[in-house]
Amino acid sequence: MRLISSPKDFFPGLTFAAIGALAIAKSSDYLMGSALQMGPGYFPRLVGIILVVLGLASTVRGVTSATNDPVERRAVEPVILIILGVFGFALLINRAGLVPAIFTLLLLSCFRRAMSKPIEVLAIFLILTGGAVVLFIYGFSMPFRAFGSS
Amino acid sequence: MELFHNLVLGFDIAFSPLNLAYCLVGALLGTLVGILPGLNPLVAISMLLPLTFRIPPTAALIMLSGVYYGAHHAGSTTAIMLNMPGEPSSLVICLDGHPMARKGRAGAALCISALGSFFAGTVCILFITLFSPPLANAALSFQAPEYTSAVILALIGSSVLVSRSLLTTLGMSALGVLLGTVGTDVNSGAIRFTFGANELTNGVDFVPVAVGLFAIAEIGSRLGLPEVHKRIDTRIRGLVPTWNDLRASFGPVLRGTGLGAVLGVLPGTGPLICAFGSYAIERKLSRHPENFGRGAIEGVAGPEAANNAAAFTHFIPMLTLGIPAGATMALMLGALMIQGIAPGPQVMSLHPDLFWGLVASMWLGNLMLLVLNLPLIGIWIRLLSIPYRFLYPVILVFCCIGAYSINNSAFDVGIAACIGALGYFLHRMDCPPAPLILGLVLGPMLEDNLRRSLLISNGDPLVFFERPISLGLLLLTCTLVAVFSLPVFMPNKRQREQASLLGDEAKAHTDISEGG
Repeated sequence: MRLISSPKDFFPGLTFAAIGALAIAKSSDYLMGSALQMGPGYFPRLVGIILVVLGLASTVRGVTSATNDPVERRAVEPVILIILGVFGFALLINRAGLVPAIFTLLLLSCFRRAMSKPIEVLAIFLILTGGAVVLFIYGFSMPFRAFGSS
Repeated sequence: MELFHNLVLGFDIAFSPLNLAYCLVGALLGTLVGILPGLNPLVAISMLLPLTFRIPPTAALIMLSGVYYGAHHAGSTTAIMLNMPGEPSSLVICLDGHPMARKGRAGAALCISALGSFFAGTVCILFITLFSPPLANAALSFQAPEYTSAVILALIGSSVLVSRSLLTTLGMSALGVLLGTVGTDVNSGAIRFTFGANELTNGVDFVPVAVGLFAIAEIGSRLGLPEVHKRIDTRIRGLVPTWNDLRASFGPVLRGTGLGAVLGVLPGTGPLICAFGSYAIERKLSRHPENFGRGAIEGVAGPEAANNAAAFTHFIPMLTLGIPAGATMALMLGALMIQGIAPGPQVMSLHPDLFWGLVASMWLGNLMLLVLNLPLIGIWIRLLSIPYRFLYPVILVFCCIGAYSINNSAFDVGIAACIGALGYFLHRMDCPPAPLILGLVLGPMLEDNLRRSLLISNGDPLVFFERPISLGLLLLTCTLVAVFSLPVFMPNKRQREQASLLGDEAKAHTDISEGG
C-alpha cells in the first residue's frame, strides 16, 4: 500500500490547508472585532479555519484511505502552453493590440500543431482574427485596437 | 384569478418581437453549446454576461435562460445519439436512450424525450405561477438569520452528491467564499487580500474565474487526452414514436414531472438526483425491469421529464429569494446585478414584467426547441463531427475576450489564467469547480448577513436555531448531508462505473461539467 493511498484527497487537502493557513495569517492584518461587531478580519479568519479543518481532514483521509484511487496520467504540456498563451494575450492586448494577442494565444495553445501543420493553424488564425476584429472592435466597440496600444 | 393575470402579462411580454428574437437566439446558442463537445454552458453564459449589459434586463435573462435549457435539451440528444451525456444529468438518458438508437429507434427516443420535456415544462410553468407569489411573500419576512441559513443551505446542499468526496467539495465552496472576501469590505471599507494589486480593490470578478475554471482547465485537461474520433453510426429512421411508446411513457412522464418539480428547488443536488431518482422509480414500477438498460422507453421518458421539470423549478430560489441554487443560477443572478436589479423577493413586485416575462418565455423557449430541434437534428449531428482541435482555439479566444470585457481589463485575463492553473490541478484531483463559483458569488452575501444576524442577536450564535425558518433551513441542510452520505446514495460511484462502461469519452464529458 503506497503512502499516499488517495492522492485525490491528499493533495487538495494540503492545498486547502495551506491556503486556509495563509488566510488566517493575513487576516490578522485587519481589524478582528468580536462576534457582536465583526471586523474585516473576522470572516476571512473564520473561513480560513474552516478551510484548514477541511484540508487537514482530507489530507488524513488521503493517507489512511483504504481505496486506492490514483490520478490518471495525462499530458500536462497542453495546459501549461494554454496558460502561457492566456498570459501572453493578457500582456499584449492593451500594449500591442488584438491581432498580436490572438496570434500569441494561438501560437502557444496550438504549439505542437503550429510546428507540424502550420498552414492549418494559420488558417484558423486568419479566420478567427478576422471574425474577432469585426465582431468585437466594429460590432461591440471594445476599447482595444487591432494593432497598437490602447 | 390574479395568478393567470400574471401569466397573461408574462406572455404579452414574451411575445414581443425583441424578446422572441432573444429567446430564439438563446435557445439556438444553447443547443449549439450543448451539442459541441468541450463547450460548457456555464462558460457560454459567463461569456455572454458582459454582453447583456447593452440589452434590456428581460431580454438578457430570456436569452441566458434559453442557453441554459437549450444546452439541457441538447445534452439528451448527444446522450441518445452518441452515448455521450452533454450534461451530468443526461447520463441517465444514455442508459436506455442509446440502446434505443442502436436499435434504430433514435427517432422515437428523441421525440418522446422532447414531448416529455415539453409536458414537464408546461406543468412547471403552472407550478411556478401558483407557488412563486406565496413563496416570495414568505421570503419577505426573511431577515438576516434566514438569509444566512439559506446561503448555508445553498452552499452545502449543492456540495453533496457532486463528486467523490464531500470534504474536497466543501473545500471548494469554502475556497470560493474566501476568494469572495478579496477586495473592499463593504462594511468597514478595509481593503482585503489585494497584496498590493490595485485592480483587485473591487474584488475578483466571477467571469474570469468561470473562464479559468471551466474553459481553461477543461480545455487543458481534454487536450491531455488522445483525440478520440467519434463514429456516428446511428441513423434516424423516422421520428414518430409508436402508440405503444406514447402509452408507456405517459406514467413515467407524469411521475418524472412531479419528482423534478419538487426536487429541482433544492440547491444543487436537485436536478442531478431527479434523473437518477426517476430512473430508479420507473425501474421499480415497471412490469419488465429487465428491459431497462436495453432500450426501455420508460427509462428515457421519466428521467427526461424529471430533468426538464427540475431545470424549470431550479429558477425559483433565485427569482423569489435571490439565492441561486447552483452555479448557473449564480451567473443569472450576476446578470441581474449587472443590470442594476437587486435580487430578492422584491423582484417579483418591483419588476413583474421581468419575472413573468421570463417565466412565460421559458415555456415559449421549450416550445421553440420542440419545434426546431427535431427537424434540425440532422444539422446538429453534423456539427458534432467538427474535430475538437478546431473548436478549442475559438473557445479560448472568445473566453479571453470575454474575461477582458467585464471590466475592460487585461488583469482579469491574467486572473483567468491563474485560476485556470489552480483549476486544472483541482480538476485532475476530482474537485468539482462549480461549488467554487457558487462560493464566490454567495460569499459576500453570507458575510454580510452573518454580521447583521450577530448584530441583531447581540453576538448570540443561537439566533440561527431559535428562529423557525432559519432552523428549518439548517435542519434541511443537515438532512441533505446525512441522507446523501449514506452508502445507498452513491451515484458518484455508479456514475463512475457507468462512465468506465461508456468509455473515456463520456468520462471526459462528465468529469468537469457540473450542472446548474
